[in-house]
Amino acid sequence: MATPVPVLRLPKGPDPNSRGFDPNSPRFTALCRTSIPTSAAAESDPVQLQEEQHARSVLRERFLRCLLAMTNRKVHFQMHEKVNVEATFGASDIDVLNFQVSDLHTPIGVQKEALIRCQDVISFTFDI
Amino acid sequence: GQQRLVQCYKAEHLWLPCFLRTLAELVQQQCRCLVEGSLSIIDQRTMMQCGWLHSGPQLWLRCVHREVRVKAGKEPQVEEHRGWLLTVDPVSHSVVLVNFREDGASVHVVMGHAVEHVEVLREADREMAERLRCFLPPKTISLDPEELQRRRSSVCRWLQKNRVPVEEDGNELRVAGALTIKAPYGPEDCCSSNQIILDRIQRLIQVQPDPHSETDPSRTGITSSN
Repeated sequence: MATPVPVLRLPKGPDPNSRGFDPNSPRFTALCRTSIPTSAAAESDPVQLQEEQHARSVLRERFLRCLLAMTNRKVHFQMHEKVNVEATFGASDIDVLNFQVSDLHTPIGVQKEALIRCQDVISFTFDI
Repeated sequence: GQQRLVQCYKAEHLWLPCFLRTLAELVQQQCRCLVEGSLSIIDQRTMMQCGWLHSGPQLWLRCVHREVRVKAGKEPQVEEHRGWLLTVDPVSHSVVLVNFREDGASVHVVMGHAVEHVEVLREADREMAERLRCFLPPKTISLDPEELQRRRSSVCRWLQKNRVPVEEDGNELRVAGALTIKAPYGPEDCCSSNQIILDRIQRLIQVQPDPHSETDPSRTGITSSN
């Protein structure tokens, strides 16, 4: 296994937390909506609202089980600019905005622990 | 005959508000399909263009367990994926697809912000539907209290044998005031903010001899030769 590279401290941008994680940064508010709102049709009709909520919870539960199945497995991420990296999946945050991964194989070396922004990821694959 | 078909079809599509194809297009295609003799294709082949993000959870739920084709990414990096739809996350709109191979399954997740185009291809047959249904890991089996009690005592005794200060605290085990072990008391059930203790206790639990047959009282984890 490749030796992990030391953690790189990239220069800070103009704002505090300028790497895009700060929830108050303009990039974050523009790109990272935390959830989809209720549809207009459902808002007015309580029966529809209940159905929509049921659908949302079923879908979300299935998605969470997928994330659970992914923990500690090798995952391949396809990112922008044709960057493809491999890492061991750790965890996701509640809004699926950041992934915590270990042993991230990047073109400049292996990062022992890393946080990947989901906005940078196009898709990812893993095998079961 | 054709008029009636068009009316039925229109009713179904008014019910699903996100489809962007016009009725005229659909009628045209329907005529074509009638000529070719395969009317069933029209019901299943539905195009969801940018409306995907704005479609509701109810529509997504209806598409689950169908085979879909997803186009993702923007020019020049456009990817195309095909697979059985497992779910769509209502929070991030991510699309989860699965493809089965001889030696397992490959799961592909496309992030919601990158999805450009989703096309439903076909329904799953009974065998595939069953396979998809069993695919996601099942809910954790809850053990009855007696079994949990037995397991808890067994793990407690094992840790004490290895000179680890442990005590039972309700349904949990507390180790050295720094680590907690919850049901069902496996290595993954240990919680601690101390990395070193966590590591040691996890390893210890992992090498515990089969709790169902504790016949050798002299065996301890620290001195076992591995």
